[in-house]
Amino acid sequence: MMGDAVTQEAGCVRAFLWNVDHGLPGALVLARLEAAGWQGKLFAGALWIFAREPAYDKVVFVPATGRLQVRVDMARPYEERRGVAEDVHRALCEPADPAPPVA
Amino acid sequence: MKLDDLNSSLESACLDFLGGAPLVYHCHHFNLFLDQTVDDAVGSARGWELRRDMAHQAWLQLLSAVADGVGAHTPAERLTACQQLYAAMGHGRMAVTADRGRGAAEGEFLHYGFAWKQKYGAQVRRHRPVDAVAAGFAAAATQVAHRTAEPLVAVETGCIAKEDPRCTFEIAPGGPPPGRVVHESDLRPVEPRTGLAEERISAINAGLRNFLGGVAGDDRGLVEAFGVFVTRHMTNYYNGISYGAVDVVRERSEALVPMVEGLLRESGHVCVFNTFGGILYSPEWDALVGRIEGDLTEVVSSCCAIARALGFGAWTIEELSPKRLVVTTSTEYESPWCATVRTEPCPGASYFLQGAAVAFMRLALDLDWKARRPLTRELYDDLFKGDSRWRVEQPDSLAAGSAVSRVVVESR
Repeated sequence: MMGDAVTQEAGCVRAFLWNVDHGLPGALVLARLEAAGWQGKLFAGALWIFAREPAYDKVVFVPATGRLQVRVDMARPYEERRGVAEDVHRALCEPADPAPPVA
Repeated sequence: MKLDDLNSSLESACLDFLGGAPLVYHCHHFNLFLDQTVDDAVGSARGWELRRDMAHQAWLQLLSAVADGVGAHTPAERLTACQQLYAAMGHGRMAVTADRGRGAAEGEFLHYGFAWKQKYGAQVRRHRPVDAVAAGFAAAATQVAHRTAEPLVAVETGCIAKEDPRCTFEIAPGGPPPGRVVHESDLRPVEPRTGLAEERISAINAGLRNFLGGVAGDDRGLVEAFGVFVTRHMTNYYNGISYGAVDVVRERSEALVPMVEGLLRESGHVCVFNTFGGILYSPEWDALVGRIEGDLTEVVSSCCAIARALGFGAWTIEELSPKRLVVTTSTEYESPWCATVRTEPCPGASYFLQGAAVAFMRLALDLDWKARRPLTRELYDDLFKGDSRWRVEQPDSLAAGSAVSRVVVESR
């Protein structure tokens, strides 16, 4: 159920950080985020940070642990913020193309 | 020369500068709390003046150095350099129209106003503007653009924190002449000190600084890292308003000084709880260091590493047990102000360092790291608002001529 898979984390700004449980291997997460239009950058060989222009939302992913956090643009109205995280969950777990190429 | 080329560090001291102006990273929780502390201590009208004037003189130092440093010659070039710097530091976007001796400005996503609205806007109605730092910037940028020494002052005529549609400023002659501020050249090189868990602290600090080096503001002038919105900010501002507020209160009543000193220490609690806590909970921390488990030495050494990475100084652990923490440092960002700017010594007055050290112990011993409770206002109140079982003293102070600042936190 998406309701359990998308949970709010307390952060610097109200409804800003969302944890997304996905249960997917790291390579599939990367592939499905890219398929959904997210552009990723690897930091320190251990951390991916994705963005999708023109919005300012971010996805932060730690392949070693599977932890995936959505950081919603704080200029978004509160009522939109959860929806951004749910969209990311859908892109991962209910993709339009369920079998993107996996590196 | 590019803006990045103007960065410099006293690496062994974990102090950072831009164009010689000392800078640190702080998040909006700390920034809003410290400004409010000043207003609470001296009154909102005097507090606004103090904050605006200290921002003005701190920005004058920084903007002059940057405009000169990047080779900006015409007023338009110099103004552009100032505005780009403002955004790059995470303060938002300011559009300044600068004539010689007067001007106007409009701000978008201003750090203080925008953050205040996010944090308090749903609960509190504000009647006064909040962007004293932006007002100081507007006046200083106008002076720097035209290379004029005549002081200018900015009035914030509209502020989103009080439900105005935009943050707007008018700039005109006035205000006090700028006073002395700390410059990189005021600081002497120091021998690096080592303490407990030094290897771990140094390694984490290096990793965090490397990561922070790649963090940039977005095109709105907002900087986010570790799930926290941060500014790169001027220690001359923080120190100017903190010690300035103490001086104003002392002139009114010596008996009230401990109250404002207590609030300044609490700014250390606010910073450690929100910023350090946010960093320790973040995916970045998981990836760069590993998920934190909550061991006493692990938490306190992690906090010292974060302090170093944010440019607070080379904080080391001299002693650590469940009943006592001694943090020692041969550099920190408060004492240079006391030693350089003030005419009277201020021993034992590294308020932020003291408050942060207490907060290290509270995070380490009073927070259930396994439960990973969200860092909410309620949890903050649980940890910090009751009777404190910790007392803090500062027996040694760089500002008083000691070789180190030493803060001792002990269980009562």
